[in-house]
Amino acid sequence: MISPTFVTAEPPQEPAAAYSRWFTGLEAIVANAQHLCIWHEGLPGRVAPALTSLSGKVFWRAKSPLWHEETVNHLGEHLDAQILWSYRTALQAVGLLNDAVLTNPFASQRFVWLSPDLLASMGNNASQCCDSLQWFAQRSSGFFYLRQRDAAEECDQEASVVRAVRSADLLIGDGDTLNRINAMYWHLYDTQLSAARLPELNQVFVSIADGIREKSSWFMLDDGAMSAQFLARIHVRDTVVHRGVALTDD
Amino acid sequence: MTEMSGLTLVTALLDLGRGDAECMGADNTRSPEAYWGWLLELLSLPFKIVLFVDEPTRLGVLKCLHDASIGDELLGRVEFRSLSTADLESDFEYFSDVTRLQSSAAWVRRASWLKDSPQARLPHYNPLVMSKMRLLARVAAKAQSPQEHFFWCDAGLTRTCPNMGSAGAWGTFLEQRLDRFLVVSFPYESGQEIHGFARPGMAQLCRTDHVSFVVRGGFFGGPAEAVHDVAEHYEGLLAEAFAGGDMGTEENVLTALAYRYPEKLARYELAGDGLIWPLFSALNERRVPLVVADRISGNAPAPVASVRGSTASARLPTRLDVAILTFNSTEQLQLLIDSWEGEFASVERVTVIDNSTCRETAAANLSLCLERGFNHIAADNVGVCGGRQRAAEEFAESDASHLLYLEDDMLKSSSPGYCRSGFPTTVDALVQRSLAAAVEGELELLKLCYSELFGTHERQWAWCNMSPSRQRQLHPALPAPHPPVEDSQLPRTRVEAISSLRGLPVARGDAHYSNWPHLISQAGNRHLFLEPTWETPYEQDWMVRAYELQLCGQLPSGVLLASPINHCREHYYAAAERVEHR
Repeated sequence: MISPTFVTAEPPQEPAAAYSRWFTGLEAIVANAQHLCIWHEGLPGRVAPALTSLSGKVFWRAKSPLWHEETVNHLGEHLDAQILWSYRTALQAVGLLNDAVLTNPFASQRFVWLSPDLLASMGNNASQCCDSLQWFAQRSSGFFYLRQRDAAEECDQEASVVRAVRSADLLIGDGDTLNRINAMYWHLYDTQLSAARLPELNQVFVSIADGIREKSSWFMLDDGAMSAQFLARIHVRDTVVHRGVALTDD
Repeated sequence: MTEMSGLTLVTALLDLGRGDAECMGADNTRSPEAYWGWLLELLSLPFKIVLFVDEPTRLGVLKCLHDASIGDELLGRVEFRSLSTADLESDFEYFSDVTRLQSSAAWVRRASWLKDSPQARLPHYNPLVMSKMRLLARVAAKAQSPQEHFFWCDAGLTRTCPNMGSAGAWGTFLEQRLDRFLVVSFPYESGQEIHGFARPGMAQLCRTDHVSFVVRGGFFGGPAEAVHDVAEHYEGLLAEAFAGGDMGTEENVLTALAYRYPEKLARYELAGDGLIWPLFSALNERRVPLVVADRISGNAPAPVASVRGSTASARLPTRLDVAILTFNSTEQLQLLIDSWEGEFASVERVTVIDNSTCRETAAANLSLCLERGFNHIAADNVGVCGGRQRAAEEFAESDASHLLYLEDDMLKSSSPGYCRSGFPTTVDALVQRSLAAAVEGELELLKLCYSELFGTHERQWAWCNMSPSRQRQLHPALPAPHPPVEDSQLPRTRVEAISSLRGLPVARGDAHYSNWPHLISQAGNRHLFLEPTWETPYEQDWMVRAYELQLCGQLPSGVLLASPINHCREHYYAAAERVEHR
């Protein structure tokens, strides 16, 4: 089986420590000869200098400045720059992942979105983590995501947003399902925007998960747990994932 | 007449005293006759039904059937089996636990409603409802084939599920389509207890941090082979629940089953009211959304060393690595990390050498490391000294200049005071200042705590681990030490100078080596641990080597005149599991 394509986006170069951790993770993936698609922040055709030091199975894509303009600029009124960036990227994750499906530079059957935050949190462990993700991606089917108990009503708005960002840390899917999700995602996204509501990632994902219930599976994170809880489970090659099925006559 | 399904329903009806208004209170009273009516509706369903009853109930039901002139058709497919309260007392091995908890004021007061509940008032209520799974499994054991379906169905379920109907189309559909054990659950997010069972204990039983749904006890079951498999796990959880000294109802045990063994179940999610009728609506419509789980497993990868980054431009400027040795307790590791909170801010890399033999702990440790940005090495229990050696080898390959070594019970003290030698027990910015002191004082080894558990740096503890001839050579006036070794038998530690380095008082001299927290340079690391290496090193061997190196000037050493380490183990592992080497 052709190994999956990992997809991630370049974070801002400041703060330097966070960028450094993300880059360390990136290096580990490349060193491990994984297929990698990186959305970078530069203009089309221009790759950030640090990224050019990477060699191997890497496919660079420039993130169009239009992405930023089109994704909820008014978020900036409520959130600081770092959270704003993370939230924007989370909102864009499905689209960025789908672009990798459409271009599919490595002819992969499975695609893995790693948020920059998640990749940075892996740091020196990125090689092991990506090994584990490759192992898992080849054994999962349909659309896989991380789910956390929805306790938004117990939290203030900001906490709710942070929780939503985390839920898009890791997305795994096959091309057909991701295409379908992409269409559903942007439809729901536009619906929310046109109703003058802030697109709320969890809400959108719940709708998607319900819409493709029988093609999705998920890992239930404990309250307060980070995505690392799932990475730890697949590292020891023993995890339980839930999936929706339907008893029907079909 | 409706064709009879091959599915079997199992139920029970005993007079447990719920009709006794004096015992139950007027609001909670349900007469046996009321149950008989609901039961008759159930019996009219076109299934084989096994009914566990006491004798008065059997006679009452038979009379009702006779009066309604429907007895003959029913009796052909309803099997009565005897079950009395006396049977529950003798067969339900936790009967005395139930009685004890019912008389426990602490348990009864756990919720205001609990004292009037059947599980608190009726001695046989929990023994019966907690036996539902056993009764189901007992019937399913006689299945003609493993695929034959068996379901537990409460005798009064038709009261809240009028859509179970008499046609029983849902039963046929279940028979045709269901290949797992079916349970139904409803959301249960709040409250300090669940059916009387304390939430923290319930979460522990479920192996989760928060129980967010509860499985209903009114209807569950599946193919015979699934019933057999699940019933075994149920028994284990029932025993575990009572061993923990707490009690709810059978729904608590079923809930734990769903959390602990999700891959064995198919779960239908009910609305917040917990009513089961939507399941039968969905079944009758022949479209039932379920949640199932799959266990995805394989051979764990062999322990691997971390991959290191190589881009200098992406590096932080600090030169210190930290190695933490841990074993079989994430809580202890967390305790250590919390105590050093803020001290690792300028550290280039923190590596946790994880000796854990428990797979769950290893996974939790890795999770913790990922959250903290630490490097995690699954060390496959190389032992205490094996772990120290591994730390030395990892450090030697790194580009850091110094290593801080910690074991997971070496907490940074936050309690101001003085150690038994009279030195302060707290030091601000300990790591940063100690590193600066080691660099400024050109120390290859800097011990961070003057007073250790078994001795202080006032005495030279390495000496007592030397050969007798070497002991005599170094200190001819001292008699050979004899166990138990005490300070008075040992030579005093040689101190060259006392300095203030970066505001820290440091005694420069022959500070004995031990695995207590210390900073070591690359050169010191090489001399002490790598040139040469021992196959099975012991702490005493390193103590002696460090002392010899100090004596010939190859290991400039010192110790802080402070004792900012709190030797504290709150989470223990079995002593037999602790090894020095692999």
